[in-house]
Amino acid sequence: MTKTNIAKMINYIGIIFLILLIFMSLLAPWIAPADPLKVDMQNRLQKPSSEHWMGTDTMGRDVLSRIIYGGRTSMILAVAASAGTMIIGLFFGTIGGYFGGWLDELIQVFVKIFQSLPTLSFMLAIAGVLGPGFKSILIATLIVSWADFSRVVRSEILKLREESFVEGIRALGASHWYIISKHVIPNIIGPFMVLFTAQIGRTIIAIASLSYLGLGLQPPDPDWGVMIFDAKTHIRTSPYLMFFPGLFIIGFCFSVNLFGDAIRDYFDTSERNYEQFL
Amino acid sequence: MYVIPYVIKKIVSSIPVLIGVSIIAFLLGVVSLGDPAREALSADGVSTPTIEEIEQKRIELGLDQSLPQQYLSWMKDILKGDLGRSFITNIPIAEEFKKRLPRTFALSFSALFLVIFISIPLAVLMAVNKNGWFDHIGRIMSLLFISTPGFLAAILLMMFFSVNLRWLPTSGYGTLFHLLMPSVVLALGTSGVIMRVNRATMLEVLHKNYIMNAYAKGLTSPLVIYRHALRNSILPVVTLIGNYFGGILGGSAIIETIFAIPGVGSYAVQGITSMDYPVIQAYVLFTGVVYILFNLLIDLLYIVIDPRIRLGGELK
Repeated sequence: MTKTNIAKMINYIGIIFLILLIFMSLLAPWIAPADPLKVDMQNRLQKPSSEHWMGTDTMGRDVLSRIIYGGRTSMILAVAASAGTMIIGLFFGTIGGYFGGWLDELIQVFVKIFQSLPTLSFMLAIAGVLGPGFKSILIATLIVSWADFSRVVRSEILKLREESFVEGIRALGASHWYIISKHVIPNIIGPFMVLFTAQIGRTIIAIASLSYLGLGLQPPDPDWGVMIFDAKTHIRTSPYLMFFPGLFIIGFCFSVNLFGDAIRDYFDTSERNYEQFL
Repeated sequence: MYVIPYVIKKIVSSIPVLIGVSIIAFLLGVVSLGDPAREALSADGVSTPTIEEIEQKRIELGLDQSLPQQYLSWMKDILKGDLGRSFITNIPIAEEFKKRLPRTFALSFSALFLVIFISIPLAVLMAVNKNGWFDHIGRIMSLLFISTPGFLAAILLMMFFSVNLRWLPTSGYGTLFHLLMPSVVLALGTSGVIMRVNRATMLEVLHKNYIMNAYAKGLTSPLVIYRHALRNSILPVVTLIGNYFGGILGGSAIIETIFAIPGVGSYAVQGITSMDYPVIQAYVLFTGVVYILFNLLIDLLYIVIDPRIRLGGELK
């Protein structure tokens, strides 16, 4: 095995783990051993055993079942938020980068303004203003993240615009829309996918952090971040309550990032554009 | 004499951004679900204000004016150093900020310091050992840093160093020991990103002709890497550190809360959980302005580290 293959192997392990996690979440109602919301006060705070593989929480709910269900809301939210940011970023980045001029400068001012809002502070603030929950996380993520996307899209398109094939098609009389949809966008799909996966990972962490403060998804939702929030008061006596959901949050983000690396290798954009790390 | 136009350009271009951020901070109070006048009057949780009292408070707070008027008077107060009063404690927010700022800055800048001194040397080692063992381990490490939420890292470190080993205090503020764990936790995520980016820029530079040239001259490897490769690979990284300073500032809210550091961030989290709108507005304004000023500072730092600006080459 050559040394480059080691990197690939690590990526594949990440992708397999990611697929398993996604299937686990999709099939949650069929594979979860118990109802994640069923309270059983007689059996609260039980250590992991053959009956409850990951023990039970403060209300006697089965931790394993809650873990299996716990990724669903965060994953849907992260994918929705990232897809939304992508669309907005793609729109403004393409317009600014392709047409240039005063429109581009105006968009750049807005990009700079929205980039100046620190992600987590602003997400916290939105949760405070609109009330915590699914909706405010979605809105806050869209507001703080679109600017990064649009900047990367813009810089990729600026590079493309200079390419002779784009000039050539334009000279042949192709419309702007045709060039953008048929030639420009397919050419930036690589860096775009990398950004998309990174954004999913970041959003998952942000959601978990908000939930930990009680400002994210709300109990009794079986969510990894919420589970850690619930486990806070029992950290000394029952550390496993925090250990398992924590492990899954880290595992999910880790494998999403490895997936991003695999895409990066596939499109071979690694040493060309570091802006995609943003 | 290329420096002065550059400086002026950078300062002027940050003005609309500052105004934009202040408008967003102001609008946060407008879109809020509650009625600020009612919130202000019933903040003690006991009194139920009458409609007349609320009306009077609305006029007192200037809520009967149009939005642009409200924004202008809000802005005028802020320029005078008045950030309003907290609904809950009725203490001027500016006073709280003044007291808490040094702590948040101490935490953020020591985290920044750690980011630079952890990630850049590791990135150089990774790039030099491309596809070697150190590169693989470094990549996994950097991804772990990125994938671990700050609060989890904080809890893990606390359990290990404070509860089990009893080496470090769990919480509070005062000595360098109190600052150590929080700033390490705060530095982790950003370090992971900077490691990866610096590795990529380093690899890019190592393929340049002037590096070959330096080797051909017979210079030793450490000298080439330090004098020629690192200095050039670090330019884009400096910009990125500026971008990520916002992440550090935002992350400090959670870290301060976990480690019970009485800084601006934990004050904001208190304000957010109690729907204290003036505090939320002031916090968003504060983080935005600090971020913009920090990035302006970095732009000015480029005069020193990027000779192209001094000599009038391509301006970024």
